[in-house]
This record gives sequence, structure tokens and C-alpha cells, in this order.
Amino acid sequence: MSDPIARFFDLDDPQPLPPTTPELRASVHSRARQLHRRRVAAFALPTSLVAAAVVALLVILGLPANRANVAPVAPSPTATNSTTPSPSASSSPTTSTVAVGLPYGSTGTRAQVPWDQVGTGWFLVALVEKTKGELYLTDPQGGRYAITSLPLGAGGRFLVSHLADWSPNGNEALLVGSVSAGRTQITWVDLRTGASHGQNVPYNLMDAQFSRPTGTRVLLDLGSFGTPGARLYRLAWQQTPALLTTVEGDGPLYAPDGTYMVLSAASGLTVIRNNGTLLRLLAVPGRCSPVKWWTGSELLASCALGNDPNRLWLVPAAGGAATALTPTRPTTGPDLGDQNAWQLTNGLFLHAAGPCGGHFLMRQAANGQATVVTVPGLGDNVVPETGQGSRIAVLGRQECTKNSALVWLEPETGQTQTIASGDINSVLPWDATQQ
Amino acid sequence: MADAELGDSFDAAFDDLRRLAYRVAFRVLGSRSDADEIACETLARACARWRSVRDHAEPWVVTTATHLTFDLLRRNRTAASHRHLLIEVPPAQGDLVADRRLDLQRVLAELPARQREVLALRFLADWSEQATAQAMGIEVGTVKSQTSRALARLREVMATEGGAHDV
Repeated sequence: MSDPIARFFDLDDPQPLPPTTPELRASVHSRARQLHRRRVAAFALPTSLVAAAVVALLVILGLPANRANVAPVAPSPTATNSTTPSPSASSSPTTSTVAVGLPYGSTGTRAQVPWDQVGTGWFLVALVEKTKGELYLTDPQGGRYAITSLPLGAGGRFLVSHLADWSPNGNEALLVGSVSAGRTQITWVDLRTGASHGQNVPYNLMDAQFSRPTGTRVLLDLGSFGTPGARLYRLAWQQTPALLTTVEGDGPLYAPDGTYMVLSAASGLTVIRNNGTLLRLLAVPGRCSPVKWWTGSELLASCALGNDPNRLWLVPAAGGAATALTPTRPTTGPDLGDQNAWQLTNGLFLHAAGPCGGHFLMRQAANGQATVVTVPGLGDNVVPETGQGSRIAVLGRQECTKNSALVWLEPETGQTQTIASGDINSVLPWDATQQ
Repeated sequence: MADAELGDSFDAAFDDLRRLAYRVAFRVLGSRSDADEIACETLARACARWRSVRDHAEPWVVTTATHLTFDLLRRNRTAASHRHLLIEVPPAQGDLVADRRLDLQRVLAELPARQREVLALRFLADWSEQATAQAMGIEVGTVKSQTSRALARLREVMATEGGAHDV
């Protein structure tokens, strides 16, 4: 190398890096807690290579290789799989599920999707298959519909797009993926036609979601790293992103009617109008992130007070005192605490997170005590995704394999029903409060 | 891997990964405080997805720290900001290195993503060609060719433009 370039690359700090302190570690864990809001599973390339080898073997053996004709789900040998919908699921008070859809384990086409039935219990699932991504819609009975194929990120395993949002009308999906330093690709997918179009934006994004209530634009959340506040941009296809506002915090959650949004702030929660102007502040204990709407007027927030693990609070959107949903629990080490909750017909279930990638499904008793729920075939390191009636959907790594699986679990019986398995990139459940 | 083991494995790797992220950021920015901030942000992002990152933590940290560094540079693209960045350049290195740093920052930022990643792993993280190839999932020959092209571009710009520029 020539001298100027070599000198540039070799210019290390002459002073030693200050030692890592407990405060520094706590600060990193605190920031990681913020980043936990939207957990995306991105798995390693070898799994897709194994899948490719299996497909190649099937072709060599003359077996049907048409994906639409092959039952996609390989249930874990340790999991009990229902082949019919759970009776308790259809009697759920929180769902409008009708027994429609494909037989369990079968794959249909986009044209077969009963669009008027898509709702609670349905998922968008992005799978890595060979060298491309496959987007599926899955129904509550365990059937799936191939929507479209999408290329993986140009950077390989580090730069894979993931599902970010499902449009309010249910007809579009949004994927985001980093394409290079400070550049992110936003991809819109029309689920009804399979068509997609992408646009690069010159940012590293914390999050992206459809605007509400119409979903005609995309809200880009740049987070607060390196700036005094989080920057929110609006993006319409083929237009330059327009700065909406700079706010103290990040993590916008749209109101059910889409007329305002709630964001985390340095102190409390901020409620802003869609034009970015301040509507009000909500008093909450500690630093909070809005998680989802618990009722039409009350939102669920995950809050950290000091160095304690996160607790869940119910916060009236119109103002007023927040109510604790989960208590402070004793901890023996780093613990990110409670991240999300579902009130099912058979109890309160929590998504709890440990430090650095550990996730649990927990059941909280009436006295506040919580116990970890182990999922047959997946163990206890799982990410709960949504609840429906008496069952809960969890995403986890299959024991003894490198594959992941998204399964419905009946906590009372331990029965599981696999929704999707393989090299799962990301999943999105239908959210009745946002769609 | 159980949660406790996951947490332990991150804690065990913390110092090494922090030093790596810091070195990458400092070599580009020359700013102690900015490099420290980028190292912390990189570690937090690694922590948040440790389960999927841990098997290739070092290249992930280099790549992420590089992305964050150039993201920060883009935000600080005023002359005033660059003057601020230069304050912490060790005086013994002299103005020439400081000026060259601005040129190289700009040219690096304009390189195709893959070339910049190769340079980051090879020269900011001091990895061998073999290790860089393995981390990026490409052939050693590709690492060589991408490195060669990127350096040629750097030299070309340095030779043509000479002194420092406001970006």
C-alpha cells in the first residue's frame, strides 16, 4: 500500500481503551433492551445449503420437487402435532376464526387464499430456500400459501431483508434490509398479485412500518443513535423521504384508528399527531417502549426503572395512572425482563427476555409468580409471537437441528401444531389492533 | 443453548469485541469519543441478536461498526463537524495525516459496499485474506481482486486530488 493509505489504516489510538466497567456493560444491555422491540430471526446460510441438498436429492431420486405439491412441514419427533384445529382455538373469545383454509401441512397458491378470512391466527412467514426468500401466508389450520419469491440481500447472510410490517388492509407486506453502510432497501409486496417493488433510502433504520390509517406511505424510524432525538421520515414510493419530526424517543406505535402515535421518550411516553406535533405526554414509571394496544384505549408498555428488569404496564392513552401488569421479579444477573403479554382464556402469558438473545414464554399466576413454559420440540428458548383463544404461537430453534419452527402451543396440554419450519427468516402475525 | 450460557458467552466476548469495534471506528474517525460510542452501539446491537450473531461475531462486529462509522460520517458532513473530528487526532501524526484522513473517509464512503467491507476486514480489523474470505463467504481470489480495485481507487483519488477537502 502507498504510505498515506497505510498510515491512515494503521493509525490506532495511542492511548489504551479504558477498561470495561459495570456501568458500561449496563449501558450496553440497556440499549440492547431498546433494540429488542422487534426481534427478527436471521439464520445462517448452512441451513439453506442443507435444504438445497435435500431438494437436489429429491430431484435425483425422481420424487416430486414441485414445492406446491410437497407437504412443507416436518414436525419435530418430540412434538405432538394436531392434525385438526384445536377445539379450544375455535371457541376462542378473541378470534373470529372460521374453519377455512387448506388441510394441515399442505401448500396452496396465492390464488387459493380466502382473502376475506385473513385475520387473527394468520401469519406472514419468510423462509430462506436455496438462494432466495419465499414469502408465505399461513392459515390458522396449518395450511400455507406461496405468495412470491424474493431475492436475498446482496451481502449474503449479513444483509438479509426481513418482514417489517403488514399493511392495515392486509394486502401488502413491507420488508426492510440493509444493503450497505447507511443504505436500506424498503420492499413493498402486493400479497394479492405477488408483485413487489423496492426503493433504497440513505439511512440505517431502526424500524419501518406502514403509515396508519391508510397504509399508503411508510414511516421510517431512524432511532436516536448519534443524534439528539429519533428522526421519523415519511416515504412514498419513488419519492424522497420527508422528515416528519425529530422526537426524544423512538418506537412509534400507531393508535388503532391511525390518527396519532405513541413513542418512547427519555421520560414517559410521547403522543404525537400524524403531522408530528405534540399531543400529550403520558406519565409512566421509568423508560418505556410502547408494545401494542391492550384494549382500544389502553396500551401495553415495557418499562425499565433504573437497572431493574423490564416490567409491563397498562397505560391509558388519554392520560392517567398506569397499572402494573407484571411485578418486579428477583433476578440474579442481567435480565431484560418482560417484553410482551397475551391474555388467553387460560391465563396470562408473557414474552420475557434474558440478556443477549435469550427469550422465554412465561405464564404468570394470579399472585404474580411466573414460570417458564417449555415448548415440546423447541425447548424453553422461544419467542412468543401472538395468542389466539387458549393457544399461543412461538418461534424457536428445533432441538437437534439447525432449523427453526413456528408452532401453535396449547399450554394446558403441551400439544403443538407446526405452522412453518425450515430456515425461517422472519414472521409477522396478523394484529387485529393494527389492521 | 440455554439463556444463561448465551448471556455468559456474550459477556465473555464483550471486551474483545469492544476493542475490535473501537479500533475499526477509530481508524476511520480518529475520534476517541465517537469511536467509543460506535463500539458501544455495535455491542448493543450484537447483544440484541446474539443468538444469531454469536457464531460469526467478529466479522459481524467489524461490518456493523463500519456501517455505523460511515453513517456517522454522513451525518457530520459539514466542515465544522470535520474540524471537530480532527481535534482528537493525535498531534504527533501531523496535519498531513489528518488531511489525508478526510480524503480517505470520503473515498471509502463512495466505494461499493463489498469493496468497503473487504477493506474494513483486511485493513481496519487486520484480518488475513483467508479470514476475510471465510467471513464474507467468498473466494480468496475475490478478496484479492476486490482489495486491489478498492486500493487502486483510493490511490487514484489521492494522486489526483492531493490535499484535503471538505466533504
